[in-house]
Amino acid sequence: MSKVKRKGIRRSKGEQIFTVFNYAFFTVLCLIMLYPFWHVVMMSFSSVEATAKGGIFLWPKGFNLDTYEKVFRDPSIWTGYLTTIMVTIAGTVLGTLFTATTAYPLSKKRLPFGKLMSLLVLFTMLFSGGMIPGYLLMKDLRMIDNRWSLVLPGLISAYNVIIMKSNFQAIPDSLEESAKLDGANDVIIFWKIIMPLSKATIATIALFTAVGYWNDYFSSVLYINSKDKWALQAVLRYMLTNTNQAMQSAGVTVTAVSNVTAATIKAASIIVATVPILCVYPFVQKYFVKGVMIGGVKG
Amino acid sequence: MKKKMISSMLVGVTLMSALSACGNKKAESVAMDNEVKEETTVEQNSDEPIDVLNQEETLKLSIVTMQGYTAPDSETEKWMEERYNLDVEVIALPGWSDGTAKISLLMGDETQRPDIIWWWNMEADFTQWVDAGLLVDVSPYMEKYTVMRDYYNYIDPGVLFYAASDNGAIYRIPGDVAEPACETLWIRQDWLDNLGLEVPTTLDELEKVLYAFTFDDPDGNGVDDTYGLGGDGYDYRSFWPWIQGSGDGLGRMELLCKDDGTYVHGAATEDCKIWLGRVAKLYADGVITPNIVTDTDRGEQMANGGYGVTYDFIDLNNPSNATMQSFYSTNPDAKWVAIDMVAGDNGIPQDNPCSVSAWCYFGITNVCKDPERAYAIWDDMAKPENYLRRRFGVEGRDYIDNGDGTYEIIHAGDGAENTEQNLGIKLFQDLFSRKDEYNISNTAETTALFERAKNDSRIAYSHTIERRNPTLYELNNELGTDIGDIVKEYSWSVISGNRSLDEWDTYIEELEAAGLQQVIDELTQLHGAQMVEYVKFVSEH
Repeated sequence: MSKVKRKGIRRSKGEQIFTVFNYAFFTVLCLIMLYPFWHVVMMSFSSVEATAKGGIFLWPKGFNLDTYEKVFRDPSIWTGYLTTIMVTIAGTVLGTLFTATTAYPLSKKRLPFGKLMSLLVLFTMLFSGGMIPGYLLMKDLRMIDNRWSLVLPGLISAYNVIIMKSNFQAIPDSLEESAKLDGANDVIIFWKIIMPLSKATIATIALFTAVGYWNDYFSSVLYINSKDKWALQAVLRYMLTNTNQAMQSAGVTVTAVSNVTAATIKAASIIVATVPILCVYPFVQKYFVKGVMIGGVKG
Repeated sequence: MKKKMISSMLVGVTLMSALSACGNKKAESVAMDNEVKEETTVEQNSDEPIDVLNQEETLKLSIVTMQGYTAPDSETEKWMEERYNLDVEVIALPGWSDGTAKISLLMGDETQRPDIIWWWNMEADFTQWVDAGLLVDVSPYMEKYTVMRDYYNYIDPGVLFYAASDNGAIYRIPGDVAEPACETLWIRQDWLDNLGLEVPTTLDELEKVLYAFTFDDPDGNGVDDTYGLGGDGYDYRSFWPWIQGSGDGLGRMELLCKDDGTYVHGAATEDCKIWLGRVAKLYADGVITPNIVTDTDRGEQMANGGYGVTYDFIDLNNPSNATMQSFYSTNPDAKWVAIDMVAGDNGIPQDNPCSVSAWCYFGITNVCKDPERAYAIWDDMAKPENYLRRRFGVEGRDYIDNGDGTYEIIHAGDGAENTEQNLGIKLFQDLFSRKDEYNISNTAETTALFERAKNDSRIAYSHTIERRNPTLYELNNELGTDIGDIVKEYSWSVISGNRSLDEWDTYIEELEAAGLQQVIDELTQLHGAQMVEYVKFVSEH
């Protein structure tokens, strides 16, 4: 048995070289992708002086947490977190729900004018109303300076609807037919059969939606006037862009109001903004590839 | 499954309720705002000034701001509200990159338009706002409430001239005007001492010092790690000593007015060719920091150190300056000192003059219920004692008045105390900012440096072109970007050694082909007429 096994895994020299090269290549590729993030993490824990001198940061130079202290002592970070968490949870729950309930009927061949409606959904993916009509709509809905304006415009993504629709189409009709024979109506079929079978896709769509809401700063720029309602990304962007360099490039010439901690604050801000949403990934990772593949193959 | 589904729905419903609660209040507020804005604007017919401290009716003021303190309900905001019977709403712009988009949206929507708008640049938008009647002419108010007007006239009569329209109406109030000159030549005194060198007084001596700082190990660490000159990357200001000191000092990379009243683009003058050649040689010899030809930040460069001469802000002289605090924390034995500008070819050293026109403005919009009262309040806040309260906080807690004209800053407004305790120091920072003795962040020595730079920059300023209405310069607006690109491409290529000064004639031909002469002709016509207006305006005011 062991002889057979050894024989079975014996590989030619070329294959062995190829495998070694493969491992080396992908390890280097992985490091290239990881290093920028690692650099920012290490820089965020480094002293202002070391950061000012620049260079490569494999480990923190002159370890200190002052930058994080400064970032977290800013109340606008916390109000930003509050808004972003509220908007992300609301947007993800409602967005996923509405995406699924939109996609499900569209996946049914028996839906009257189903193709036309699918086309209309697809149309919005290619052509949008634009920023000004969007703003006017929010204004008419009296949602300017209202957190709902951060949630509603991005609630349903045509791209996600198409992925979800493809997933629903992949579910055999026989399952629904048997449920109908047992007396289930469309709502029960949707909640008790279709949704549980689509967990992978739903998790993927939820992740896409959550990341989209988490990273959105421009909606705050457009629709929110009060700083205490800004999303976290808008707060951070304000912190990052209001440096001397940004001022100069904006055509402003004033006496220096320098902030040499700008580099470390930028690094810490990136970590503060990124880590929470990164924490979500491990919980949906097992669904992630499967969910995208289902949507992709049939799309 | 059922439990999970129900709990998911409950979470969704709870969130909707929470968001509704947040939103409804504002929706009501918006509705109320609209009602308020629909009311007739109060007309103040009396010639008597309004007593802003004794007004029975609460005035709602929504105010747009960018820099400084922007959080709502600060101590300073409450002080304003109590003092003037106001209900202040702070609208914070989302940063330099998106600020203009937000300003455009706010001004374009009557229901969202603030009572007081702040902006920078946006000349074309400003013209449209005036044409559309969105801004209030405050020139009549300036006759009744004179603090801001007198301050600006004290700074320079040109400040209000460039703010005013051709007919004398003033729709924009200068928000912040830089000092007449705000930069000076800095040198490492400790390096000079280590090498036994004197402070340079001429351009040639300065160059010798640069070479010594680069090659003679001024910090004595035995490592070749120093440079002579450093500064802001991709910024001509870093080379100001050579620009002002080469030929007649007309090699500035901008359109200039010559002594004889004719106009020229400095980048096309022989003076420019001279300074480019000098700087290119210094760069090639390695006495200038290599990254000065890339887009680096001067504050970060200064904090990094590693060079011994730079042309940088006078504000670095203040103990509260964060850049220098950072530099000295890692270089405790170092000593930067501000020195007199070195004399060049013409023997008349000059500092770099700043524009007398404001870099930002604010204006009262047509939705303001009582524009005269709003202006009167702002004028009252411009009084020294009130300005100190708004800009520097509470005397005794945030700063100490030594009683001899000097002050000690305790909380500069950039620290955590300001945000944690919601003090509001620097609230509405750029909606009127004083650069006189009430800018108490300056030490007496810094004030003297500003005064010296002002006096030593007037000849250079006499060549500076200021445009009252940039939108009138259509050819410049159309061709100026291309001309500027040619200048930048060639000059930085010469400095970095990628192109030669032997190509100067080709470069001049490129400028001419891009329409430089047309731009100069337009400038001659329009700027000449503007200066006639300027003389008239100054004599009347």
